[in-house]
Amino acid sequence: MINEADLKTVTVLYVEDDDYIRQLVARFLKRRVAKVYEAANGREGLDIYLANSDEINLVITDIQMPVMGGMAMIDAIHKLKESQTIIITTAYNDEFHTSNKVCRNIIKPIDTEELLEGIMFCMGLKE
Amino acid sequence: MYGSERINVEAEKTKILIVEDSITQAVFLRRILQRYNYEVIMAEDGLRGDEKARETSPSLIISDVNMPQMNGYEMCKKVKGSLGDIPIILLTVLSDPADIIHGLECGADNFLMKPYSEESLISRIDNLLTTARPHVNTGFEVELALGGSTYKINSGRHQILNLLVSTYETTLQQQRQLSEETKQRMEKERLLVQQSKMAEMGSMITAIAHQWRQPLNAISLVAQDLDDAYKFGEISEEFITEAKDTILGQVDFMTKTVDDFCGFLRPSKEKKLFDIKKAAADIVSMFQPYFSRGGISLNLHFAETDASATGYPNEFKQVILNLINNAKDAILSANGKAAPKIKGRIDIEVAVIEGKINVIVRDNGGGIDDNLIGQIFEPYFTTKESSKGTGIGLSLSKTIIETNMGWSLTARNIEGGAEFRIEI
Repeated sequence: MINEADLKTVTVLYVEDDDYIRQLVARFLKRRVAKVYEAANGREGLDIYLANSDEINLVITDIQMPVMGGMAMIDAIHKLKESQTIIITTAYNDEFHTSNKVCRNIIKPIDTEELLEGIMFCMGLKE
Repeated sequence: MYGSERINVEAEKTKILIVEDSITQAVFLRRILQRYNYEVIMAEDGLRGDEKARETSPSLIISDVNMPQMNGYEMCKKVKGSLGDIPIILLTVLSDPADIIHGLECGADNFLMKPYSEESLISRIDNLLTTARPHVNTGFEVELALGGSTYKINSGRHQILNLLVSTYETTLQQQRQLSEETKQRMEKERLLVQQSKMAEMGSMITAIAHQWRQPLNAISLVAQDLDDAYKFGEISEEFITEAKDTILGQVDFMTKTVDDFCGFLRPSKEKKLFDIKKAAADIVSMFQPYFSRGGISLNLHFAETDASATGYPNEFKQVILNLINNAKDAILSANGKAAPKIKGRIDIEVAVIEGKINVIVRDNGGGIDDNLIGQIFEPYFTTKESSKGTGIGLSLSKTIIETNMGWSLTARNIEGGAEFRIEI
């Protein structure tokens, strides 16, 4: 596992359709990581990922979103880069909203401690 | 009342002749009579009954009406005409006032309605055996017009009185039984309606829970952010105001959700003109998150033209909810069995067809078994497990649509699923 201070080098793509939640979680992340890309749905997320895949270390995504859902985006990202580290944040703890192909499934309401612990765990795996 | 002192103690038992073509009925009757210590003779139709009456001179005859060879009325007439006065009780269903006229015409002494109670049977026998007077022609004839026919009645006053009183008794008994049955049925229906209301409340609560997830998540994040922002030295008046506004905004949304659901649960007081498209859209927006969770898409297809109708708006919405809930259950149940899983979809269409507004709910949940499709609107019919369905939803929906609003609700299978149609 890595230290919280090590996160200063990490770039995150954060995909969430709810404006309030995206703003609040992004704020929490920005205090700790190098850079946060924000997207409001899977399509936007995928576009940002395609343009910045070299830079992005971690993808954090909601599942149920308009235009393109989280699962479709995850599939597309994994097709591009199978080793991409991903964390799911979802309100529903069921087979439609979680996946065993990602590093962590975090169930909403988001506990920021749990999210932080998850991020450090997942980034530590890569080192 | 009919204790041991009633039972025959004389050496020779009282003989009763049973004329009845149904063996079960005859045996049932014989058992009762034997228990009261009567000697029982049996005959299987009117012809044999008449013969047996001549051979054995019974003290009383109990006869069915509808029998082959010779019916009860004819036999009664024949026995009364040739053998003098043997009291005769006719077993009938009393479905027609003419039954009583035929009974009087043939000289029968009393009627017993099927199904009869043991008590009323024994009381009639008792009454006839102890008080029956010889059937004397009183010399006057009563003419009675009924259903276009005229009947000549010349039975004795005593007999007519007996018959009328026993008919009245029978009717009362029938009515009591009926009102008891009605009461029980109403109680059962009340319970089922209650159960289906509970099920409706259940899905309502689940839907509210779904609607509340995001705002609860947001409020929880704001609370956690306060702490975090303080640690990072970001707290300012502006920051606090923003946090407050976010929380209040979420609370407003949650309050509105609850208001929507409460309004929907309140029964409509009176019929009024309402926009069918808007009512359907309202219900969909309330339950959309609940449905999309199961991966089911709810799609609206609305005609351009105005689609307003007079009815009970909340009840209409409840029917739509019932239909889309059933569609969802069908899709989830089909997905439980089939692989690969289907992408569940429910389409709600409002169209104007030949001047009539049609509300059509289609799903791709595999449709209804052809053997069962005729029964789905019957009360208590269900294909769901008992924990999920009471079998009252569709029957209640049909009542709301057809009886309360005068529209029609029908169902049929389509490619891949079922289609329910409300025609207004």
